[in-house]
Amino acid sequence: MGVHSIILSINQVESLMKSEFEKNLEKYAKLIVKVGLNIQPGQRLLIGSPRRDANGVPIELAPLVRLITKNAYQAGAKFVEVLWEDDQVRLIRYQYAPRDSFEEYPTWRTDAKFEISKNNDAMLSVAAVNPDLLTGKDSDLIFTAHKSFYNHNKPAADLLRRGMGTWSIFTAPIKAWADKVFPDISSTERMTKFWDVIFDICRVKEEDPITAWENHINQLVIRSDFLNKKKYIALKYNAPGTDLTIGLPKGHIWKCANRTTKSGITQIVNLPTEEIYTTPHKDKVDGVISFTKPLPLEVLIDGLKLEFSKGKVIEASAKKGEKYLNKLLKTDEGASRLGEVALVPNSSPISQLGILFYNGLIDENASCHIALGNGIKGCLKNGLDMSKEEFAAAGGNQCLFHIDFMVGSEKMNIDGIKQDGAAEPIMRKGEWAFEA
Amino acid sequence: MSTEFEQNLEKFAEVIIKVGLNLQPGQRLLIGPPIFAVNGVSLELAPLVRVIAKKAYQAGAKLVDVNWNDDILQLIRIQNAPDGTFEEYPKWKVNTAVKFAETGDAMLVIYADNPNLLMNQDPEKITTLQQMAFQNIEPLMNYVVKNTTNWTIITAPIDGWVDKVFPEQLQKDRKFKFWDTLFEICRIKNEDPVSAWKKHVNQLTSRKNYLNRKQYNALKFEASGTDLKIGLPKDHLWQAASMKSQNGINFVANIPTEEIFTIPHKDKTEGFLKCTKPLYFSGGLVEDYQLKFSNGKIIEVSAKKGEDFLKKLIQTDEGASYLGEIALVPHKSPISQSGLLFYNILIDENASNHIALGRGYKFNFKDGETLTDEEFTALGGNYSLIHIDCMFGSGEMDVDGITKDGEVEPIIRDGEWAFTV
Repeated sequence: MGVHSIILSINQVESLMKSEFEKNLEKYAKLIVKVGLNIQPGQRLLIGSPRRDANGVPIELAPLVRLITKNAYQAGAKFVEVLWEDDQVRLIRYQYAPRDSFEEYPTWRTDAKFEISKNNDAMLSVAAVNPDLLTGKDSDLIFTAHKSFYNHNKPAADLLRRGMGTWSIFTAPIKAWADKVFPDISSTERMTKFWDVIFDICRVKEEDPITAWENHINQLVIRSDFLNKKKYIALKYNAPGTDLTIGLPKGHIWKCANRTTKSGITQIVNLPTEEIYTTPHKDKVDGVISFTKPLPLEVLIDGLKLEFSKGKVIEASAKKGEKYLNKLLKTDEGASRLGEVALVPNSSPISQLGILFYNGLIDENASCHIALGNGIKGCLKNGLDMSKEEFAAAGGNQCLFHIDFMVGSEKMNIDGIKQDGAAEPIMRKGEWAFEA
Repeated sequence: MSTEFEQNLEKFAEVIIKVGLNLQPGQRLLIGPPIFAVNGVSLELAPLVRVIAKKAYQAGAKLVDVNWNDDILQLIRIQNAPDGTFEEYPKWKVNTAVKFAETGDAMLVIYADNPNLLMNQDPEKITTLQQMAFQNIEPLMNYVVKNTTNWTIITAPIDGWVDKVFPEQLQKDRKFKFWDTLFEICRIKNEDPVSAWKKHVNQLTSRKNYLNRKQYNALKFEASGTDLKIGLPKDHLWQAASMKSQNGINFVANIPTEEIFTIPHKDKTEGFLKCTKPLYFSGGLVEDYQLKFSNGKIIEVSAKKGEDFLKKLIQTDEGASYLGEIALVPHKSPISQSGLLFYNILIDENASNHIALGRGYKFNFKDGETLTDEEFTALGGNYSLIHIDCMFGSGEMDVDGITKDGEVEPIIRDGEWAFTV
């Protein structure tokens, strides 16, 4: 009795007092490790694998990174390594670096990514960027830096596309981004609100988030199976400003974020995810499409309209970011063709929030979208083993990049076109038009 | 309006870029290559790193990249990683730095760690992690010891460390107090710190040139508890502050720096020494220790605290019980006068005469950069995975130089320089 029992009860009180937020953060970290990565004993994990708009995890996210690291070790990871980035150092480059130096890229970052995938180890990317960081900076410099990243990232990206290594993207709020998304909330409340939203859309608040995710993925698998049985030869999109036919290649496969690697690990590529997607035929896209949400690529692209003929963009206009867009479309031959078509109902939980996040990972799961650029080998029958030539012959597009653009709305109708030319409704007014 | 602290931070960054690295237009700069068991720049030093990055770009750097490190992850690893995994090491960090050296780009080490971080953790795991760090940074050290390119080591206060150095200050004042002391000992508070540094470097260079002209056969150290004779090899070269990299850039490798140092002949140290400051090295603390040498090798070790740790260190490899460096520092150097123990070799070594156990530097020989490993050993150079400074200078110490003819000349008396330049 006495002192010891008092200490014990204080510990118990502390554990009870662990805030709701801390509990959710721990559940989120566990979800990322168990469901996102499905970490296997003996794997190494790289947190912060570089992306176009970030060289690593924002240093602001250290508390979450520590929890992820702990969970990864507890799941048997043999080593966890983190690539960090301070976005202020990124900004300082645009403010002070010589203008002819933007092709320089820290290659060791993409090399680390390559090594991880080559060894079938695991990596995490983080989509947490202040969309206004580079506002007003020269978009030519930004494009030069992006293209340099694509070039250096290619070997690593090719490994991923061939099913090597595990890889997942998650998101988390950072202060400057929260200010942009929740301008109407008092500045002290914005981060709390943002975390709350992320816990919601990632199903973290469920008592057992791991089971909740299994159920969610099963629903998406049922929808994709339904479309796979249909073997449509094309999709037809209709909405204000949109009249577009997207041909689908023979042997295309509809998928959801559920990915099985070559070494047999099943994991979820995106947290959150609501989409089902496949790879379109690179030469069979015709018509016009208007985009429904702005796209933050460090340069904001907004009011985008594209016209396609035989798969290729023949006219492009944007109200914002046109200069960057025109450079982007000329990156390489595949840059003006499609590499993904994805379906998301307008009633998806993210869409229903009615918030524009200025973040590809979240916004793409609020809306039907298409991607310019590289096609998805895993969405073609036997695609993972196809050579470049075989993939192209099957209708797959190849490009240095893959960028999702949001096109969905509550006014969008999508039909599936059957072999015999008959049309069947897939979506009406932005919602699923079939029972799966 | 910027605060005085912000102004000092800017001046500090200016000294680092202009004096320390002497960064050249078109160079890339890597901030935070791994050193010993410190894997990169602490996240909390972002405000300093940003100012350095700005100054680097303004000096014409074509790319600045930062190798960040969150030391809490080290703790999490020790507590949670599966057994048998502690030999994993992020080799890419070393490879990155090696590439910078190979291409003649610049490197800035920010050497700051929290001496209390790993207290009470499994010592076996800590030892394994240290051994892995030593082994893996070896390829990088091979470039550093040849001054292939311009590199500088600095430090800055971080959480935990400030508590260790300023325990008697109020918690909230400790970091500020540390910064203030650091600005002081790095001559940042001067109105024009870059000029102040040039003057300081010139002083050290004149003394270094004097000692190089002398080419003493040996040095003799005497103080209470110390009677040590260190033989110097033929063609040894004293270095101080400013060195020239193989790609022709004059740089200052340590900020702060007060020392003039050279390489001992590895087989020619005789006698004993008593330390005057504790030895702190990545997690281990050794206090009140004495070393006895014969034919260059440590033959006896005793310490009031940390004796096992010290014994383990000198058993790292064959060269760990021989000397790689002897450095002279006057007792009235600003760091010495602060009377503080920083538990950080970069600062503490500049408070006192010291020897280093372990690896010697090729640049401490005439034309040393071109020596092969075999030639280096044949001249009396020591090789080891470790390089650890042991402080034994004091206000009572006398140092003599012994010429080739056996004549004895005073170098230091009562801790201060005994010759004029």
